[in-house]
Amino acid sequence: MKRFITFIIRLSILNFIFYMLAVFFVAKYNEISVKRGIQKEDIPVSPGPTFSSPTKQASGSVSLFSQLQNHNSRSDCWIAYSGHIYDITSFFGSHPGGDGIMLKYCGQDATAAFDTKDKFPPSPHSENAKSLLQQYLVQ
Amino acid sequence: MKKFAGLLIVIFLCFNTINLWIAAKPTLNIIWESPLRSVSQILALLGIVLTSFVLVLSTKFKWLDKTFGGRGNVFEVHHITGSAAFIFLLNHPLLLAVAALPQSKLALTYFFPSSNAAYNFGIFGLYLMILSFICMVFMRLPFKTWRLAHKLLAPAFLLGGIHALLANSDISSFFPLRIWIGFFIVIGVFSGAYSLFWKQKSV
Repeated sequence: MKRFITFIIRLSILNFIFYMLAVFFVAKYNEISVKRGIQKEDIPVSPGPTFSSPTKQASGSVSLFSQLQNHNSRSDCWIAYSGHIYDITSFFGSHPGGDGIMLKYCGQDATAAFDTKDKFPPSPHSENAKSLLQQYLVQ
Repeated sequence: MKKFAGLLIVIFLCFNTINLWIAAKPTLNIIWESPLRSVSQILALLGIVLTSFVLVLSTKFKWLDKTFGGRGNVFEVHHITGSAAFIFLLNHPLLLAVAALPQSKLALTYFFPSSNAAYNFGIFGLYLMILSFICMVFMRLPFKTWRLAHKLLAPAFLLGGIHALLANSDISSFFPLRIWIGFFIVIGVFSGAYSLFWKQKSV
């Protein structure tokens, strides 16, 4: 019995270390890929329009803000934050506070909710969470 | 009957913890929507409760010997339950990372320190626990060094307890679960402190 337990503990520790390294290298690989992608295309990420901006922008492209309300479900969820649109559909299942809190703001401006975590007193999201959000930038 | 006291206590603790965790969910659908996250949560809660129980056993109070039918039985329950609790806690961030894997940056926050202080307590606690187990399981150490490595588990539990109370989770949102887990964290921390500082002096 003792030997079996020791064996399981050893296996678990090795599994943990292996997985931790795998996640680290996958994240680094993704980071490098993103950097390379930007250098190749040489297209800077332009700031999107503010929430109160007209649906037709100066450049002539159609603002996605007019479509925001249509993306209001778990399978198709957009939110507005600080004048930008984010498609957070693929983030469902990963939010530490649960899916319910995100679902509430699908198709809406979630700026205040994101900055306060819907709490009183406000509890702002970390810098890491903000940089994560940038991965889902649509406009 | 006394031989099975440990098993009965462990079953009772697990049953109560799982019940409270289910009660903390607004709907049962949430559990099935992200199964990996759910398993990870329940493993963390069980890990905390069982580690606290193990720390109580490590105090070597005489009433424990009477309850479990001898020091040998106490040691056996301590050994098996402690190992199970460690494996549960080890798999907690692992499953969260698997659930978050398309977002590799998020997955990293479960393994490496970030700007989230609540997570950092858990990460440091877990690493301290792993370090302790690596010393105990992978190395052949003299007994004094082995015991020193074993003692690292008490501060690791303290860090894990702080993480559990600070992190945004079912514990923070559901009062009965917070009381239940908080109780075990306090009991575990006091038992650990007793084993570390007072027990040695009194023996």
